[in-house]
Amino acid sequence: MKILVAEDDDNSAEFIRKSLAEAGHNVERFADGRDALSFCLYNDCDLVILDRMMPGMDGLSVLKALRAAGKKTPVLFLTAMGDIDDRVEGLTAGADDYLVKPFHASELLARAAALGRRPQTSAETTRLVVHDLELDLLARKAARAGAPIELQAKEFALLEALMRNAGRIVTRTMLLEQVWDFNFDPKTSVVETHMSRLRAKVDKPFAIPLIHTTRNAGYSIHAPR
Amino acid sequence: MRHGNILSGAAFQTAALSLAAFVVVLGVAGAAIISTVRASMTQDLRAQIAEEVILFQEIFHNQGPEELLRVMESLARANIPEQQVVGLFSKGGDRLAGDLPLAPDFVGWGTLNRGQALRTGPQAYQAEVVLLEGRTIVVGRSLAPVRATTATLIRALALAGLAVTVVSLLIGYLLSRNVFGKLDRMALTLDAVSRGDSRIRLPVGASNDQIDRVSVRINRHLDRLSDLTESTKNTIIAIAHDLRTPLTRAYNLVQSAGGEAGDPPERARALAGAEAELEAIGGAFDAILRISRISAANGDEGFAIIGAAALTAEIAETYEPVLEAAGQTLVLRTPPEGDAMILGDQKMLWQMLVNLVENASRHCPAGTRVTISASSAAGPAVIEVSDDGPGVPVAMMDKIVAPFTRIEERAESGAGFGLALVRAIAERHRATLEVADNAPGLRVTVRFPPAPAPAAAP
Repeated sequence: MKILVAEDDDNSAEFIRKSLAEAGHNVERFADGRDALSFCLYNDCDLVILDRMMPGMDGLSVLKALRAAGKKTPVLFLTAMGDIDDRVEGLTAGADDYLVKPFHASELLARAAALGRRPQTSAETTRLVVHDLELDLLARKAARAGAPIELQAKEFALLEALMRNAGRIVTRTMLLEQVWDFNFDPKTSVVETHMSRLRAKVDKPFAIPLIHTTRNAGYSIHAPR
Repeated sequence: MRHGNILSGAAFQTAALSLAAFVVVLGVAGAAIISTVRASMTQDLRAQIAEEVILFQEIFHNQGPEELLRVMESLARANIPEQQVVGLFSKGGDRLAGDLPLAPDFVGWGTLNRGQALRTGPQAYQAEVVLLEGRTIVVGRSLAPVRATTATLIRALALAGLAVTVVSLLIGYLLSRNVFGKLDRMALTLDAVSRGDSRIRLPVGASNDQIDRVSVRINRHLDRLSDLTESTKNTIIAIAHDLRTPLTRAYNLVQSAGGEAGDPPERARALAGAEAELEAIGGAFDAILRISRISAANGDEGFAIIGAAALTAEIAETYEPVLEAAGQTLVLRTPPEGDAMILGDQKMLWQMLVNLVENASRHCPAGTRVTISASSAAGPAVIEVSDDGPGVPVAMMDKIVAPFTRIEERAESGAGFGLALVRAIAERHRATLEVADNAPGLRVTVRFPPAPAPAAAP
């Protein structure tokens, strides 16, 4: 993917660039909001990572200008810790996702990957399939190898979040946001506990596990490779 | 205290202003009274004079000019000239009888001044001059009583005015001095406060006047201010304390990872440990920032009507497996009928409940029962999180919801922020937080204010 990073702090920018480059992305970095905006307007890229605070033009203004110019490039908004209003503002202004600083490289990569391919899974999808696991979003029913699986509401939502991003890592924080709508980090193992219950139903009775844990990163669901 | 300040004080100026108004009113009213009294007394004199003139006319017509002359002569002799005068003059203006040396130069009503009377006194006379077949009859009565009454009235009014002036200026001065004294003390106190003395308070008198009431308010603000200063001081110390431990550990771990000794897997473990410590520091910072943002915000912006039972059900669904994994039980008690409504921010309220449930779970051993309950629609919403764990000493109950207090020194960091965040969220929703003994265990009750009735669906 070609990713534009607008971040004025050299240290952070280098960390982001390195993380993305190691994952095989092509990174273009700008330290000034105006430069980032003009680059975006005249060049195509797959993802824009925008810092909130920047010299020249702040991230929120760049984002608004981009959207006003009709650019639909996915935008990942970087906000400072504790600034809940910033996240809301960013999402309202047209950001596709936000990431709170400081963050783990795996968190950035997972979110970048999810945003870069977002158009593939539209909201109109009614049926998700991974290997022999099927999820009927309308009937709220799951089945594996033809056998129905009884899922609690949270387990269903968890499985849906994984299957919508099949093949890609979904982080713990992403799951907290997507499944629970929590904008805070619980101290206890909420995600882990629900995930282990889900696995007991989806994977345990079957020979081939579909849900995989990537240490220090998150979870992914995919057919055996 | 300077006199100039007192005389320019509001109390004194008010007194002076009302005094000026009083003097003007006294002048106008006095003038009106005097002229009325004068007119009425003059009227009486004229009535008496007119009667006498009629008597003289009757004598003249019935008994002839000689008899009139005789009566006049005898009257003039008997008269006390200070009180009244009579006069009879011929056609040529010569005096025929009476006290007056000269005929007046007017006919009808008029005033005879001194000098025109024969045996003149210092006074003037009210007189009527009547022409009677060529003769002139003059009857006058002294105006002295009228003038004396007028003078007495003026003296009385002036005396009253003077007394009121002196008294009101004195009262104004004293009031103003009193107010100035209080204001001076207020200024001194506030100066002391701004110099950093947070314990000093304004004196409050027994009179309960405006200044005393303002003083009471200022004292209340000073109380809050010193509470805030104190809590800020404590907060900074607590934050520093809470962050020191993970910071030290992270520092040590990074150092040992960077050292030459140690094999790669050990280094990796040390770095992972350091990262976890840094994450804990990040979590503490996030909580602190959230608390300060929530405390700084106000108003109902972004608030919605949320059902208390729906909130508790959502959290119970999420945490029931988590507590089960820890060997504990989570029980949800829903009200039998209806759902009490809360005007609030759903995510904030979730966080509050999560913190309460996680707090109960973390501080209780396996086998503990944690109960979440919501009140029914009959009244304002009440949410309760209770456990049957070891509980908290009664003396500590109020303290545990204060920011950054910990029951005991625990190794884990950030434990001081969970309940502080709960308190900040409760306050943001104008809810009261109550910590009580659940016998056994701890019970935290959040009482919300009544939510406004939701707008009717269109």
